[in-house]
Amino acid sequence: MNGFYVTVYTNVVALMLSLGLIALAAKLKMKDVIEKRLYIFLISSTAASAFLITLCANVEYGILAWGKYGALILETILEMILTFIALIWFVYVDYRIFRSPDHLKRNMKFINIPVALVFILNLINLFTGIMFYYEDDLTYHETSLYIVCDIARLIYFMGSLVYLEWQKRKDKRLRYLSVKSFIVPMVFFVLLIYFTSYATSPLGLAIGLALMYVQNINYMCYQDGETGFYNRLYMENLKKDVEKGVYDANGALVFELGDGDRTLMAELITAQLPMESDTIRLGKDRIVTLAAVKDRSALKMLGDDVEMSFEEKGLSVSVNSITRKKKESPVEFLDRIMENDR
Amino acid sequence: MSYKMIEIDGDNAEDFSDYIDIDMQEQLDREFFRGIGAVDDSDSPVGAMVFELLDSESDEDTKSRIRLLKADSEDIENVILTEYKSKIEEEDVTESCFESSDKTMSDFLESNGFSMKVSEAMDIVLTVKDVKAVPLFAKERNFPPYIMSLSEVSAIQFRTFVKECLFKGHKGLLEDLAYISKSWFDQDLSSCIVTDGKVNGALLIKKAPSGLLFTMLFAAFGADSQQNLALLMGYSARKAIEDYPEDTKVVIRRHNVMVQKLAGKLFAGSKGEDVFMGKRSEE
Repeated sequence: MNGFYVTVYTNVVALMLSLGLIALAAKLKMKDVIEKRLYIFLISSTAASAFLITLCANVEYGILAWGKYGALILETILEMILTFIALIWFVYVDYRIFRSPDHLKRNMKFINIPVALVFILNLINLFTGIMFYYEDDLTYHETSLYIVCDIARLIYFMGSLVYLEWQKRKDKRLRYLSVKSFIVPMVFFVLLIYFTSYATSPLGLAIGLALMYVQNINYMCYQDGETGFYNRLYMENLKKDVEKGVYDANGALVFELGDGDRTLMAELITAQLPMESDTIRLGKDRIVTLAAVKDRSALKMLGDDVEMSFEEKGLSVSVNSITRKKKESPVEFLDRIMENDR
Repeated sequence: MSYKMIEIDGDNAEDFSDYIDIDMQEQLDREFFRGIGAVDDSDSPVGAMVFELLDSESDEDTKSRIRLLKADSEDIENVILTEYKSKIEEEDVTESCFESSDKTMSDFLESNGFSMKVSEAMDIVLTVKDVKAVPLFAKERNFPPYIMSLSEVSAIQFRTFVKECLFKGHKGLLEDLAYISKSWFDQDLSSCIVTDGKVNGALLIKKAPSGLLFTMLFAAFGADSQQNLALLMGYSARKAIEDYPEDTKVVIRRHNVMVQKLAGKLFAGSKGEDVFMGKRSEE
């Protein structure tokens, strides 16, 4: 019975945590709607899996008299959902890295292979018991083929971790994305099941998702609520990254906004700038976009397009470009940009 | 005899066709290309020089690359070089350089303060037949729908891609990338990758008036960038094989390590011709 209580309590905690996270996540002001939906979907699936495991435990220990077939169907649905969650986890990480729906669509046929295999095996298992089965007294048995389910989930979790680490080295935008929230569910999902035999995976997922929520909140400290751009605090952090040599800025575009809807202006600026640009609101009317390039023609081209888009909407903006001087260090350059604002 | 110096640009370059070939004439329309022409008392061309400014719009030292110097006599070359010196002073050029197979030009420049060495050219000149011989490009294949010719993308999509390139410092061989329009490139041979409605990779090829094909920019960003580079190469190579005679020349300038390695892998054994390279400080 100890096993029953541990399973039920950990999953009830996971369920409560997930439900709380859904309520918090729904209020999160995330610019990217797809990311928000994926995140909420992950939490909902975690809540569903926690509920199912609790139900399974009740059936296995005879509290709910659903018999061996009821237990088998529940367990089958659970295995599919847990693997599906691992797939969505991978998809979420991929989307966080690239923010490209097309990229996901193009690679879905490869990404889906492990989950498709698990689904097919589970359906076959319903009629043959080749992976797991229940005896009449609800004793659960597992065959060595069950390892396919664990491997599929491991592929997704390990894959997402390795993928994120690899991309973090190439893409400086990801430097604030901590891998802690990705390690925790992996630990619970794979290791604890083997050491404790308890179905603690939803708790691991819920804790991982909670860490992600904290990360999102911390990240939002660096954002200006009105425009969605970064704020002065981000610029201060950027200087530390520049000192460490992780970040480089050689040029900047400075936008002095006229009167008008700041949110609309921010959308117009965002539409013209490259996706990876760091755009910071330094003051009420002053926005700066940093660039790796020192080429004034490049900055001019960007500035011209922003000016044109403002003109089309009857709004006013003045655009200036600043480039790093020959003997000026990147930190001095950033200081000069911030100094001009005071 | 006295000679008059005039500025050569796209409008009058044809007048100097005895000195400037047809491909170089077209270059004089570009933002950072400058031409100096010498004419005699009867306004007949007697010599010309073409040079390109490098890094002129950044705070780096501006350099000048001499692309051509040809005249009827050494006296005229001297006069042109003097005019060149005053022109580059106006542009704050700190160093001049050149790369040429023209021994006459290189000897003259060496006698005027340029340090000289003989080296392998950065350009390798291949034919479409050489491209076809590469196993990767030899067979026909189906390309995914998101790779397409430059003609199929809009001017706005192209401009957004150019901005992306400039922002990241990828200019390829194009100092004046910000000033070049989509129509300057070969619309069918140049290829693009479109992801989420945006061009995030392209191989831009210029077909010169003489028929030479020049690879000018080869870049891809974001998701699947490495695979996309391979797709772009394959697509443009197949187009060249299908649409151009085998003896059509393709010029690849190995201007950075990535292109050098790629050219070395695909066209192993292909070497640039020996050229004269020189430079001179202008400070």
